[in-house]
Amino acid sequence: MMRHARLAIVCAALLVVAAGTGTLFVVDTTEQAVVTRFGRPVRTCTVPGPYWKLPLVDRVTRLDARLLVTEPPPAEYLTLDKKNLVARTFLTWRVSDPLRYIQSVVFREAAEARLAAVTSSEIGAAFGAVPFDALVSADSATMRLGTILSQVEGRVRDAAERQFGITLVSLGLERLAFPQQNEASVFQRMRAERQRIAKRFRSEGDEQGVKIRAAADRERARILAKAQRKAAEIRGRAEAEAAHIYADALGQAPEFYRFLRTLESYDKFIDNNTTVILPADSPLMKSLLAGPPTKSEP
Amino acid sequence: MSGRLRMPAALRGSRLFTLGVVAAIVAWAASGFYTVPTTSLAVTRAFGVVVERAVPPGVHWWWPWPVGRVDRAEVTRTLTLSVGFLFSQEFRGMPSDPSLGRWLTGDTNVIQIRAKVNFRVADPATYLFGSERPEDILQLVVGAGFTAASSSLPVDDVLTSGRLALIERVRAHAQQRLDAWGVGLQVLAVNLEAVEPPQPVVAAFQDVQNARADRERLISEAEAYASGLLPTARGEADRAVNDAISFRDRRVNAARGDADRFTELAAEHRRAPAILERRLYLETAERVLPRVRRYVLDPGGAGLPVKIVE
Repeated sequence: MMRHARLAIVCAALLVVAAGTGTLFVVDTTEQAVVTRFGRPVRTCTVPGPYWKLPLVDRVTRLDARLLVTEPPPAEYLTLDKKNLVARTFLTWRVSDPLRYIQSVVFREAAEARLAAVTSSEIGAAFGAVPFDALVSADSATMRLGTILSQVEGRVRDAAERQFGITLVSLGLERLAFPQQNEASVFQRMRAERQRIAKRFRSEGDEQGVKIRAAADRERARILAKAQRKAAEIRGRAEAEAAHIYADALGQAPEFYRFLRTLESYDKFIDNNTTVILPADSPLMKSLLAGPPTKSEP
Repeated sequence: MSGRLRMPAALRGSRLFTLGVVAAIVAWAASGFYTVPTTSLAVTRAFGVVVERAVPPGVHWWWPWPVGRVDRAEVTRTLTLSVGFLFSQEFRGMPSDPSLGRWLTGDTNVIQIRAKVNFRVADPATYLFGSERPEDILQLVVGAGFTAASSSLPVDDVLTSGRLALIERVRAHAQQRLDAWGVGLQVLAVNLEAVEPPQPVVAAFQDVQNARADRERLISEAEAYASGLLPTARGEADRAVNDAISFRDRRVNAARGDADRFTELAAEHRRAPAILERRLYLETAERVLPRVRRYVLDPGGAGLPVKIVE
């Protein structure tokens, strides 16, 4: 028992001493490390865990193993058709080759500055080679922003890997905007466009309203015309039927009809402006004159 | 036991030392107990290596420093990220810089977006150790999602019908990247609080809305005119036809009446033609002559003077 306890204590003491003197060091899961002996790199630790080194002689340089973010300041670019665009980019990256990283860039700030510079020049070249509507367009035929960005990303990735020992995970475009000084003219253009659209809506309303009214008027005329035709037909048939009835009846005694009709005609065409000269031997007067005297009125 | 009592003083001192060391070890080991709150999960590391990725809530033991470390992350809480404005300014009642929320649309308009992104920690170990500034990465990725989506959509789509598609694209864009890069966050929802034209052009956009309403009004007025006109026309048409029908009835009945009367007269005429004819003749004369100026002329001229009967 006693011996075991002593052994454990001794081991623990040794560990504490090892750590205290710098023989043992731990690489965290968020880190990677390069061990240098008098400045000469002897070991690269990319897997987390405990590591041994020579005390006093070996130095440990720790680097971040996590995904890192760099946001270069927004920059203004010119497209092929001379339009200004402000692009705000961000880069996510990892240190993939710790040795090359510490040899080439030394500090994180330096790495970020170099990455930003490469990104800016690559984007400048890419945007300068395409028209504006390849970057911003509602038309999928011209829109190539995704492709252009992944091309830029590929070039920045190559440069970062080769020069700085950095793996570029992604190059993102957080924002595209018009430059501040263009804002007034952009808004002016937007207003003009809206006015045009508003005008179009109103004249469309007028046009359709007139069309609907005209169609209704035409339909009304059609309905009335149809009804009038039908009415005329009915009247015509009525006349025909009446004529038929008359013909049937009158055909029984045409001579008598002629007589009756003549009498009726007298009734109609003789009005109180008519002067009638009756021959004394007309049937009417004959009876009057020949018969026994009556009162003086005829 | 008696042998121990006979130990030399030096040895007894070392025994005290041993006890002290053991006590220290026990105290050190006891400091390895830790709790995980209900809302969280814990991640344990030994010598920098992640051992347990998700320790559930409760009391647990893990190697204390310097061997091990324990980190906790809240996983049940929904966190919120602001897009297009700053929470810090909003809390103080200050207006946010409008350019924070301005995006370009595919037809080179500018829109003002205000959104909140709900997210949570999906995997504690990845969240804690996978990247620096996970929330900032989320912010950037959401911004990039809005840029990618809005720069290919016309402004009218973004403002109206395309909103759902827009937020779904942003969510999918962000989540795909968070997963691919190992950020350990999960986007729960992208809530668009406002998508509107920038303040200086709001009136112009509003006027388009008014114009659209005007168009609808003009059309519905015309439709009202049409729907009032046609029933009237149908009524008029109906009346014209009915007038014709009643004319027919009158005409035919009159004809029948005349025909019947004639038939009767004709029958009588057949019985006594001369009497009837004379009677009718006289009746007509009675009716006609009273209203006319009459002269009786004697063509024989046999001494009968012409008498003007007034």
